[in-house]
Amino acid sequence: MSNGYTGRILRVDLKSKTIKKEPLNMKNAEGFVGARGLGTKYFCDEVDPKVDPMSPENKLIFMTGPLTGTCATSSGRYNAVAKSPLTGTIGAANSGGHFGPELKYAGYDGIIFENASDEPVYLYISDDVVELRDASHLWGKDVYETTDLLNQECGENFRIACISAAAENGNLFAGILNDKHRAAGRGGMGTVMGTKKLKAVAVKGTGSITVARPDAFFKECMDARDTLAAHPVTGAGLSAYGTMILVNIVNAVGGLPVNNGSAGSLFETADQISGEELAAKHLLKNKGCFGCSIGCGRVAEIKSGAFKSRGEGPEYEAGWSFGADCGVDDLGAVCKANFLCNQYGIDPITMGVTIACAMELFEKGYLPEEDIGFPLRFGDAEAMVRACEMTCKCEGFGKVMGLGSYRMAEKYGHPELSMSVKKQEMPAYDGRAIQGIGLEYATSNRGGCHVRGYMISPEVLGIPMKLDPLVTEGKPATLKLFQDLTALCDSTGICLFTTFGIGLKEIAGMYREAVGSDESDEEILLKGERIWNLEKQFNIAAGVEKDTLPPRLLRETLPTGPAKGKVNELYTLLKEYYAARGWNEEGIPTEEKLTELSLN
Amino acid sequence: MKVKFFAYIRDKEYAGCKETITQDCEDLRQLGEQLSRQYGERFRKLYFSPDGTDFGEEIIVLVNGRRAEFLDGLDTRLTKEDTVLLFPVVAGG
Repeated sequence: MSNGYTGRILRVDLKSKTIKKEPLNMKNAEGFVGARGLGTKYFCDEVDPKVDPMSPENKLIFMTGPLTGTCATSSGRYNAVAKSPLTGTIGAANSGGHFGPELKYAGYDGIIFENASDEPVYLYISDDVVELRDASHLWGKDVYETTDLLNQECGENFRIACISAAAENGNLFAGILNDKHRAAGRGGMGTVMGTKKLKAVAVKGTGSITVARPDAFFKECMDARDTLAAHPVTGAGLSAYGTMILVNIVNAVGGLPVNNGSAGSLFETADQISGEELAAKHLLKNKGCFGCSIGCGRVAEIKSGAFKSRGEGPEYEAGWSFGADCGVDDLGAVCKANFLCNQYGIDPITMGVTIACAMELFEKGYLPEEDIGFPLRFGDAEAMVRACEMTCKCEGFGKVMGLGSYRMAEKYGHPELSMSVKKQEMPAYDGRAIQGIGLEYATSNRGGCHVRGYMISPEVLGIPMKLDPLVTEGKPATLKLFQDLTALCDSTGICLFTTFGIGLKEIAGMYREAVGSDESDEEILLKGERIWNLEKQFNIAAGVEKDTLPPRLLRETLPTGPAKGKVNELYTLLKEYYAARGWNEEGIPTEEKLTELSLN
Repeated sequence: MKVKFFAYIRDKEYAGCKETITQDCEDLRQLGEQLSRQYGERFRKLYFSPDGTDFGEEIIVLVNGRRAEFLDGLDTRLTKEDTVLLFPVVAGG
C-alpha cells in the first residue's frame, strides 16, 4: 500500500498453530491511526472486557503505526496491547528500538496472538515465511540469553522481542523486551505473553514502506527534524544527560517522593543519583533508537565494587524508584537494580516502588523479617538490590513482590501503603507538590503512569507553557489536551519525547502526508480523543475501579519543601476534568460525546 | 545567599562549579548581573533575554524551589537565607 501502512496483519492461533495473513482493517486504521489506538480497537472488538487477563482468551496484539519505520523522526515505536494482569485495565505498552520497523519491512502492520500454546514456541518471521517454532530450549532463559540464542539460530540481522523467566512464572509486571534493552514495559504485557507460552518473536524484513505523498512527507519530516535539532531539550539536553537530568529539578520543586512517599519529596542527597553524576562517572556512550535524532539512551557501567555491572539506562523513573523512593543514594546500586530489570524483563518502576512499599511495611512492623529473609530498611542499598534480584528470579519473597505493591500490601493488611493507582505503581513525581500530575495518575487509562499526559512538562519544565505546579487552575483542560495528543502521538508510531520539541502541527503534518489525508489538525487530534474514550469505555465495561489516588496523596500533607502543607486537590480537579471531557459527574462518557467521536 | 548550578551550567564555559555564595543582591536581576560579571558574556546570554528585561528562554530559575515566573520574575526579592537554583531547560521522563 502507499499510505504508510503495509496493509496486512498476521493472526496467529497459538493453540491450533494456524497462521493467517489478513488485510488490515483500513476503516479502523483511519479512525484509530495505528499502534496504541488501532491495537486497542482490534482488542476491544474481539475480546470480552471481563476476560481473565491470565487466561488463553486474553489476546496479545503487537501493532505499529503509519509512521513506524519511515523517515519520520524517532519512528521506531510499536505497542503491545492486551488486558493487563496487573491492573485489569486495557494495557498498551510502547517500545522503541528497531523491532517495530523490522516488522513493517517484513510486510506486516501488526500481529494478533490468540489462545495459548501447550508448549513454548516462538514466532519466526522472514518476509513471507512465518512459522511457529519450538522454544523449549529457550524457556527459562533471560532476555539477553534468549536474544543471543535466537540471533544465532535465525540470523544476526533478526530483531528479537522476547520475555524472560519472570514472565513465565507469574510476575505480574513483566514486560516485552526488544533489541535486548528496549521495553514495552508497563502493565504486564510480557506476563500475558508468558501465559501463552510465547517466548519470542524474531523478525527480519527486506521490504520497504511507501507513503501517499512522498515529497510533501519528506519535507514535513525534515522540517520536524530541524525543529527538534534547534530545540534545547531535543537538540542537545536529552542527548547530553539522558532522562536522569530530571532528578535535581524535580527534587528542587519538592516533587521527588522519598521512602515510598512517607518522608515527603525532598531527597537530601539527590545529586548523588542525578543525570549529572551518571554522565560524569558512569556513562560509556549514548544510544538512539531507529531513526532517532534525539538519542536519549544511555550505556553505563559500574566499573568496580559490589554493584559492578554494565547495561543500558537507568532512565529517570528507575533512577528514582531504586534511588530516592527506597532512600538509596548509591548510584551503583541503582544502576545494578535497573540492569537486572532489563536482563529479567520486568518493569523497574513497579519493581522499585514495590521494594519501597516492602521497606515501609517492614519498618512499621507489618511485614516480618522471616517472610523476607533479611532486614529490608530504607537506605539499605545492598538489601534493595537483593530484593530486586530475588523478584527477577522469582525466588522466595520475590514471588510476593512479583505481584506488585498493591497485592503485597493487601496481603499484609495495609493496601493503603501501596503507592499505586488501579494497582499500577505511580512514577517519580509527587502529586501533592505537582497538582496536575496527580490528576494524570488518577485518570490514566492504564493505572498509575506518567506518559499518558505528561503534566511535568508544563508544571515543572515550562514546556510548552509554564503552569504553577501548586495550583489546580487550568490543569484539567491542559491534561485533556495532553492526553489526546499523547494518544495520537503513540498511535502514529513516533516517540513521545519528540513532543518536547514539536506539537500537533508537526505530528499531524507528517501523518497527513504519509496516509494521504486532507483532514485538519483538529480533526486529526480528535482521533486521539477517540482513542482515549475507547480505552475508557473498555475499562468501564471491565469494571475497573474509579479514578482516585492513594490516601497518602489525599490526606498526608507534605512535611517540607516548596509544597509544604499540600495534599492533592483531586476532587476539585476531577470535577473540572470530567466536564472538560464531556463526561458525566461519575466520569462516564455521555452519549453525546460517544456520538461525536463515532464510538456508539 | 547560596546559588546552585545544574547540568551544563556547571561546565567551565558557564559557572565552572556546582555552587557559590553571593552577597548584596537584592533581587534576581542584581543576582544575574553579578553572576554575569563573574562568569562572562555566555552566562549573561543564558540568564537574560536579549533585551535584558526577562530571563533567557533556556534557563529555569528557582528560588527556594519556586519558579521565579510564579514569584516576581527578575524583580523577585532575595534575602541571605534564600537558595537560588539555576537549571538549563531540561526534560525527560
